[in-house]
Amino acid sequence: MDSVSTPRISANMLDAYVGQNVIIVGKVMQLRGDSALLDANGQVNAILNLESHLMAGNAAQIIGKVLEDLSVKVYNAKDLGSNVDYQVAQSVVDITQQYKHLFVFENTSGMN
Amino acid sequence: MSGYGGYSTTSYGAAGGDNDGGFMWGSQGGGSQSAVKPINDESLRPVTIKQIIDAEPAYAGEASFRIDGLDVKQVTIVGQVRAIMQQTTNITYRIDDGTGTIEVKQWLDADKQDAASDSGPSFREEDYVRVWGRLKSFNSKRHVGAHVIKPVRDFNEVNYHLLEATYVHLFFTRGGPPQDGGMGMGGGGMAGGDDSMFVDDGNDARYRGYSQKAKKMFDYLSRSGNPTEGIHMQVISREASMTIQDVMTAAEELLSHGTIYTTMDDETFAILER
Repeated sequence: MDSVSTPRISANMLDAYVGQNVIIVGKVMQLRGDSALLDANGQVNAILNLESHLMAGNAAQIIGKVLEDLSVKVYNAKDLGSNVDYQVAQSVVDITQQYKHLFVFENTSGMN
Repeated sequence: MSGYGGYSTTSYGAAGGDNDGGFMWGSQGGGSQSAVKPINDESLRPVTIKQIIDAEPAYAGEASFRIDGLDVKQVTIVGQVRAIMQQTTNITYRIDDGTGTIEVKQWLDADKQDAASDSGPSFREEDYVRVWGRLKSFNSKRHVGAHVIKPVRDFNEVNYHLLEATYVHLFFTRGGPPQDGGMGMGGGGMAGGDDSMFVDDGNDARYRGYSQKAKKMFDYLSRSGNPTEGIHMQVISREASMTIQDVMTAAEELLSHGTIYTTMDDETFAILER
């Protein structure tokens, strides 16, 4: 039982989450060796780890830490296939902000 | 309400077929039980893990919890498996849904060893799963006693679940969408047929948290001048165009809040003026 949240956000909100762990769901636009470019209501540069197996054109979920330059250092990346409704994913991001008491423990800086 | 609107207008593909039909929370139960015991406390409720961690213990010492002021026993959660710990009597999973982390225990039935080992390998760490289970507390540590754990095959189910948990929370804290449309069409009909004055009347403390049926019944009692001898449920049913069943459900809810009381008999109600 851990009171630590990893909020679901989109690319346009990165600057508010520097230094924190976040979940981003987006479409893989480009794979460049050890990094990937995702579209999640804006672009995110994801710095991948060795275990990441993403596919260009597919959806992906990345869990990672937002760095100063707004790129995301990925701890865990998951290929989600091609059947992801991005609008629904964005709705979840929106309600996470709107109803934080259901989704986000405050004072969790994500430094674990 | 924009997020909510987006939710209800989105159509889902085959989301696994488990419970995409949704629940009609307000319409459950027959109202035939006593008014004291909430009829829906065994209802399966979709929740986020943060809601479980934040749930208030309802009675000291007992494994009973409240979310949004309602007793909750059966829950369903969707999250990623972070760890699988095989133990002698159970398998303990750490499930993380992004809002928090909780342990889920699946007890092994000695007589059904085969079944347990069959269900074991159907998902691995980092997979998304849906858990159906019961909220438990042991040594003041909460966990979910799982009845069923199934891998999520369509990622949209993850988002669907989070939206559904929000919907149910809003249903209980603010009342359902106007018109008893259920989850499928729900908020789509915001400007729908229910011309009840309570639809945009959310700031009157008296109505907060009541279901649409309860509001409708209260509205009718209030409009009819609230005679001291009360109004019989047959009359309420006819005049407020509610079914008897709905009137009984609404009455039970209003009675349990002490908002109305019974007058001549158990089927005649009046508003308790304060």
